[in-house]
Amino acid sequence: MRYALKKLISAIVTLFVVSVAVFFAFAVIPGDPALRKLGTQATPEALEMMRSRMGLDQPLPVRYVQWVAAFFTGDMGTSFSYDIPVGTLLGDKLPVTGFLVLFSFVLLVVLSIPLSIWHAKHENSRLDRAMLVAGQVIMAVPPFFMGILLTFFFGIVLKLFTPGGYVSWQTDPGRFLAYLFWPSLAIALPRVAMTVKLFRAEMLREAGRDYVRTAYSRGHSTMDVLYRHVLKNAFLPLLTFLAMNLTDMVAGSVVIEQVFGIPGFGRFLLVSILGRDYPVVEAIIMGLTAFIILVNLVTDLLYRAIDPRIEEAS
Amino acid sequence: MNDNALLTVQDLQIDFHDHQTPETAVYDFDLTVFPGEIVGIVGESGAGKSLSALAVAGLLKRHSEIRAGNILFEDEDLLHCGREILRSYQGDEIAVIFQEPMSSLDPLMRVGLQVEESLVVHHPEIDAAERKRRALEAIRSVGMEDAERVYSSYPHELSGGMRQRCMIAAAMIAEPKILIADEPTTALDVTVQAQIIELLKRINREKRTAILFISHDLSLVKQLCERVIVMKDGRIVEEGDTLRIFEHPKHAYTRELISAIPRVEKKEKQAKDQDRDLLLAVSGLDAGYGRIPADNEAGKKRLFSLRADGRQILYDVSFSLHAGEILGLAGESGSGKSTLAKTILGMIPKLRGEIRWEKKSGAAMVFQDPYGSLNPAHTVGWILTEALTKGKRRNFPEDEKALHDRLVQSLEQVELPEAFLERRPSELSGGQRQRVAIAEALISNPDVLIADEPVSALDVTVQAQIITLLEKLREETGIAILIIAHDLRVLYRICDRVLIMKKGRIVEQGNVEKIYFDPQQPYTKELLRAAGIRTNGEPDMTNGSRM
Repeated sequence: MRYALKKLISAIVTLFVVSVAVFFAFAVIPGDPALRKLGTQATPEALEMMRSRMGLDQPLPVRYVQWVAAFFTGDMGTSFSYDIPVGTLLGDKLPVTGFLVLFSFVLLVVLSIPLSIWHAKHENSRLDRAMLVAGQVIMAVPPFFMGILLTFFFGIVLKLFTPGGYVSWQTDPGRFLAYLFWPSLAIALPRVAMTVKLFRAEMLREAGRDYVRTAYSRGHSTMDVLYRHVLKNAFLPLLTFLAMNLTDMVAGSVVIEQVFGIPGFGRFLLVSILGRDYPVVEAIIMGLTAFIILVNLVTDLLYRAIDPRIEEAS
Repeated sequence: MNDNALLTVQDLQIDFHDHQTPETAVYDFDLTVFPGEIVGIVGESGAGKSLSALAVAGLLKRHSEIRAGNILFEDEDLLHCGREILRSYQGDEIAVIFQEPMSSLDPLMRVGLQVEESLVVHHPEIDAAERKRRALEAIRSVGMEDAERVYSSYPHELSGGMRQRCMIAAAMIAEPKILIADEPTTALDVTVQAQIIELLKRINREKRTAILFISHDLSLVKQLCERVIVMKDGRIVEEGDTLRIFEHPKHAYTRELISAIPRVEKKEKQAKDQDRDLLLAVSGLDAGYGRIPADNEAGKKRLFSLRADGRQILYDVSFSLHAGEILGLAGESGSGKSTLAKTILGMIPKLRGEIRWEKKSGAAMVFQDPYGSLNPAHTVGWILTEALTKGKRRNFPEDEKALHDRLVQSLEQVELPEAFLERRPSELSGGQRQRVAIAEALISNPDVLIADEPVSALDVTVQAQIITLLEKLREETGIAILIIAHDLRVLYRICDRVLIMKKGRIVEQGNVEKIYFDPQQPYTKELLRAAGIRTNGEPDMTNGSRM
């Protein structure tokens, strides 16, 4: 309980610090949103009026407090570029990117864990070594290029999907998911290769431990030793790695959304930064921060659930 | 071959494949164990004793391979029966316990479930409730009354002794015919060691389980085994009835092993004059780690406050050290021996009390692990030079020649030849490394040498050599030595006085003869008894006067 409270307080502190940093960073970055909006031809009077309408004439601390206070009521401000509430704007994009990242993560876990187990079982076989080399190559391919390769082979050559044929989830959830499979794979594949490399090594290291010898001394088969003892122990260091990947995948999705023409918030973020659409950018950054804090919290709790050696006090 | 034998091993040869060319690690190993018998295998590290025993249990690691021989368990040829049949014996008829009870248990699994494992494998017909009942019974039968709590504990929540008891409970749950014990007490404190030996004896007596006991410790083998096999460099050098071997060892190596055990027999140590210079006086010393709670706020916990999460280790420690004296510090793990050494050297701040160095004298330290404490990337010459420059500046020789002479002289002191200057630590044996570590400590001419378990990682014959070296250094240089050891025999051999430490307090101190032959405190008596040392004029158990 004390632990949960502590975590909650530190999460709030983190969010506060990030919010201050984000807000003031955008305030000092050169570039005038009003000028952007009205164009270089605008008269000084018109600019002044626009600034005042956008609330830019207020002192910074006042603007910060207003912004934060509005956040608590669910009002994330109004987009400078579109004159639409940020909440409404993001409401369309969030599920798209969310699904993309979730799908990639599921693929990562579903592909890498069985593959790693296979590798560990067949350590130093010819196929094991060949696939490690293949993994090394896949690891080196950047996701956007992986996306292009997938589009070419599976989209254009094999015609398994229509490149650029994104279907929104409101229209047809089935076809939406079918289309998202390919960009998700592009995001997941290099990470699968990395995860397999790590998890395989962890399992082999655990396999050399004394408790594994003990398990064999009781007459366990190799499979039993693996599933009863090795897997859980080897999984511990993997947990942090997977969590890092999950947060990293959000960043990866920005590029992949471009390659596959998906209207998620990745593309939207780029446009908003270039257009100095501060309310949008700030809302996205705050959302990402909250997401990362949440992932870390869940990781922490999972560690506590799996490893009895982590005590309440630490 | 004997029809009654439980286990027969013939002409076993085991090869190592670690390097390019296979090396033979065990040659022509023969062994017969009869039902209900306790057989010991002794030898120093690298003798092949564990390897032979693990081969019998079918547990060789991937780099070792059985090249020749037979292993018969009752009528089954374990080497050629195939993995499935071998597995049906493992854990059911042949059980094993290992040296490290911590790492030999799965850290993420409740101990009770691990105790049950052999039943899960070999007796799937037994349901979970009955398995648990048997596990609790097994845990109780190895001397732990609080079976329910132990059952649901994780390994890290138990002490070393309890973990080894759990390993034994797990090994015994399927009632095997033979228990292979590979150095089962080496990692344990001496009092716990004695309890485990008693437990093994009782199991053997009550269940008629044969025991194959592997150890480097002859005194343990003598306490436990009826028959003993002595191994050296992969070969059996001598075999026979334990008493016969101890009283009339035939092979030179066996004699060397036996004589290397420090004897504890009343002797007239030449009385050292008491008015030698006082070097170090410690009085009323309290020390510990971290932020230590003051008495009035102990137990109070606040959110986000800098919690007093430290722990006091030393309580009211007082002693003195004189020039040319060898002072022993004995106690079990966790008693605060190493903390005391570090506090004296100023590596841990003291809380209260006084540490008074009489002369402006230097102290140097030697550690237990000669593998970890020497920088592996450099030559011995570099390491010694480094130690010299960090010492008193005025000692540093002016030119190359003088430096070289100084280094050679330093090696001579620890009886190593000049050629060692060019060697790296990885090229040295454990004993040689410890000699280099001593040379490194002595090169800055300290008045006090603090040696923390300097011989406990070494084989018994090497131990004897290092102890002799330390005695010689004391005679030659008049250096005072504070030696920390859990091995009371080693301390008796070398020390003038000893301090007995328990839970951070010195419970008894005085002249060795007095402490060993007329101990006053119950704890001192317990320690001595556990080490097999009889007090009050009784003859020493391990090295009887008949030898």
